[in-house]
Amino acid sequence: MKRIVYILSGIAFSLSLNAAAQATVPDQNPNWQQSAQKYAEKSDELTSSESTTIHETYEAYDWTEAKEAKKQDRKERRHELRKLKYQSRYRCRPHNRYYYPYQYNQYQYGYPNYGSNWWWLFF
Amino acid sequence: MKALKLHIAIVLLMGLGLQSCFHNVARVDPEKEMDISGKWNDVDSKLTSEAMVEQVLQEDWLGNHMRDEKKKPVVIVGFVKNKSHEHIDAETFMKDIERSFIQSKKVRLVQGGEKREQVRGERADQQINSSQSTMKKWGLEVGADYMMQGVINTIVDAYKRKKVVYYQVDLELTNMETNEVVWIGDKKIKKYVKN
Repeated sequence: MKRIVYILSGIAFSLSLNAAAQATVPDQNPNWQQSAQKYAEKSDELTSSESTTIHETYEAYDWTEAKEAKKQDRKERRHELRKLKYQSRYRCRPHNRYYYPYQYNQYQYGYPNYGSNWWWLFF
Repeated sequence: MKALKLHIAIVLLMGLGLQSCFHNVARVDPEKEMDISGKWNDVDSKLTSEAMVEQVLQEDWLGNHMRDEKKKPVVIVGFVKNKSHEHIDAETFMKDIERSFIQSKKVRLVQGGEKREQVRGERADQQINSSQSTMKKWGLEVGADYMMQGVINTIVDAYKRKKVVYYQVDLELTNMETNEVVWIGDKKIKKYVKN
């Protein structure tokens, strides 16, 4: 008899603990479980940035840096242009003339013929 | 030999001296007004926050809410749309306004956006990792009475080396229940820039 009383009281205690954990408190939103379920799925993702610094920086305009970047762009463009000229010249060497007779300008021997696509050379 | 060493030392010293002339860094008082390019800067942000704090805490909506509801209003900050031609981070003056709410003890503030999401994520994590006595319950957040939203506009008028830039920052409070706009604050800044 004593044993049954102990078991029953144990069950009652555990049930009361469980009820206390899930009991709604006054003024609690009745739909709280929806929110709990929604955030339970993505809690790992949302807490992954804790104790970290999130960088959302932007590039501020700096006159000297912009000037330097422009200079670098110009340098690279000229380098590309020189490379292109060299490659075209190599392609139009006299021994290849037989195979590509209309590839270069006859008045400016050795220079590449850009046809009508020459406008970009001015930039 | 001695003279050569002396010359080298002098050249090195001169080099160092020149180096310091080219690049110089100094800490300045954040309250000091400094305009360099004419773009939006810390001074504009400060002027905006001062004007907005003054307007939002002294106008009728606050007294009306206290009279009708008999409790302090709760505000959530929504977006501020930047429709100007410049990069303007509204957070610099919005944080000043939020701080004034808390410091004045007249307005309550609730978290919104990404920060609120992170708080809820942490609460969800507590449900499976924290002890029962310390884990926080769902459904007990404070609901906002008003939402603060804003917009930044600019008008630019330029000719040759002269430029006039007009900034207008508007903030407004909308009642969450009735959708009624209860307050609109603004700050206008006009700049004349000559390059």
